[in-house]
Amino acid sequence: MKEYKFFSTTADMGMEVFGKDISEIFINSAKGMFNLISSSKEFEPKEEYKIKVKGESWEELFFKWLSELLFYYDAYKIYFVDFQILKINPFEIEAVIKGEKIKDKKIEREIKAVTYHNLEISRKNDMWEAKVLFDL
Amino acid sequence: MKEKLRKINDYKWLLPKEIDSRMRVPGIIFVSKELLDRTVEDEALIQVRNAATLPGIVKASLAMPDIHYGYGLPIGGVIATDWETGIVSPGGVGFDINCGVRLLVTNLYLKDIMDKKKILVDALYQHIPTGVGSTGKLRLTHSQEKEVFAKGAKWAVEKGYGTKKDLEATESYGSLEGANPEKVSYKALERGAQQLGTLGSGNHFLEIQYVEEIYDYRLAKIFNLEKNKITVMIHTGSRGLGHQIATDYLEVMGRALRKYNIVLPDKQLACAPINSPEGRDYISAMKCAANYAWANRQILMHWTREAICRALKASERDLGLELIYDHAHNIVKKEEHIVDGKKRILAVHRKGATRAFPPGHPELPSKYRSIGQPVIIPGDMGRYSYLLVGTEEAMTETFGSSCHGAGRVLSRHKAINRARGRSITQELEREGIFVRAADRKTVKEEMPEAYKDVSMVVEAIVGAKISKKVARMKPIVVIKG
Repeated sequence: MKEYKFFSTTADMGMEVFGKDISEIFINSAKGMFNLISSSKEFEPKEEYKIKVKGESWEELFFKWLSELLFYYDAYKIYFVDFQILKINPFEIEAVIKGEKIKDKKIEREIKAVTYHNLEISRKNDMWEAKVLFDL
Repeated sequence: MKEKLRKINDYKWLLPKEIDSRMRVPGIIFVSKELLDRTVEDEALIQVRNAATLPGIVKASLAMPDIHYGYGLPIGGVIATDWETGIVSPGGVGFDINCGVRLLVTNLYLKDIMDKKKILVDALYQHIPTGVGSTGKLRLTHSQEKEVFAKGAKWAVEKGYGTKKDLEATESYGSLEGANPEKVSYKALERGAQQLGTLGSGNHFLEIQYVEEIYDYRLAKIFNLEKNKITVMIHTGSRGLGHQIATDYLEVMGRALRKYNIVLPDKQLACAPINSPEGRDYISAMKCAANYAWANRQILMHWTREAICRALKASERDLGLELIYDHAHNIVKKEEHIVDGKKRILAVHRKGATRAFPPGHPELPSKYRSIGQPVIIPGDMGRYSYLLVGTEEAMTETFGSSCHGAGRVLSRHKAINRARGRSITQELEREGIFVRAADRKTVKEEMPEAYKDVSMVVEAIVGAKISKKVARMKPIVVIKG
């Protein structure tokens, strides 16, 4: 099963995310976002952070989760490769994220922000899907 | 949605208020038939309609000829809301707060640097941090950042980056009053700490250009421009700091919608009354990012001057390198406008649109008071950019606003596919344009054919009489992030 798929609008890029459950949606979206930043496989899970994000719905939590990861990436220049979810419900997610400082590794693209535009999380039969647009 | 447009004249189209009961004002799109048919997506027009539903919106939801699909407000969107009774929307400004552009003129001519392009591109690439995948040369403490928020480009000048004269050639003198650093989050401060003095990636760039065409000799002379004169253009914004402030306040505004019972068709347009704690806080924080962006471009310009002087083994005095103007194209500002014959104080949101004040406007520096505000329109890295000036019609038609650039015509995926098996860098070099970028993918995504021909946009804005053409500049050296 595909974990994520990118799509383009004229100016920006977005991502469709697939998962068996909501945890997979959150993990696969994180993987997809970092793949958009760099498709390099050189990064390793050397540094570890524990993060906690709160929201008022799955959509808000999803937006804040990706925004939080982007914050760690952009402020501390860490590319994350490993995501373990410790706790997840529509109001809170707790996770351990592991990654490595970028230094001179190959970065292909800068994501300015995660947008709320047409952001969706849905459940179809036994599958979950999400859609998100990034500002590049 | 396109079929609902009614032609007012060759460059002005009405999206009638009657098409949707939620619209408080009509939409007006300034565009030529050709651009409308070839480049305006239905989604972008839906975004014009969505913006027309915002509480307190005045006159119309406007779009410039470079309109394209964004998030919230379309790129090229301009809306004005009443300062007392209206709302402010971070989605009406965008994530890259005070993304903007500055243009410098030198004493050099094309012949002086024809054989020095390689030296120049290397010198600039070495000296100008792109900030992509790494950080800049500066590292600020949070308290130093707060000084930048309060003072803007003036902070940079006080620290020795450029001169006071530069501030006179900057919109709002490079500093908005009322920036309150306490309204900026810890996260935003963390992101901003190492990104002052960085260019960033995507469509941000630094170019050395030459004047290819003069359209108005009288105006060009005032700008010290003549054919083959060398110019320099810098395009960047408030970097991660602004992106984080916008993200933070998008969340604040999401909650404000519920608090103030505002119903919107798109959450990305989330807003709050200007006259509310949320609205006031956003405006204060937005001003911090705007001031940071002006400091950023001021510092980058200083390093550009240094790099060019070093590469050409000449002094700044010899080379000129004088700032013509710097302006924002993603911002919200408190401005006075005449609406239906009455003076009103408005919050003018420009998202991918440039302020274009007419001759005589009191906010213009004295040297441009008689000719109107310079409006810098970057194109793509292979063709050309334009210098225009604002007109009286801009004031009556678009709250003193103009277009901001070419706008993409190919998505990034399509651009990469189109560039497969080609070296865009070599193709450009054969045309005499030297490009350096952090990554090859950027060059492919940003290749000239990924953008519309900016002259089509300029033709439409001039046709609508919103701006007047002064000169066209062609790139010869390009730095991308």
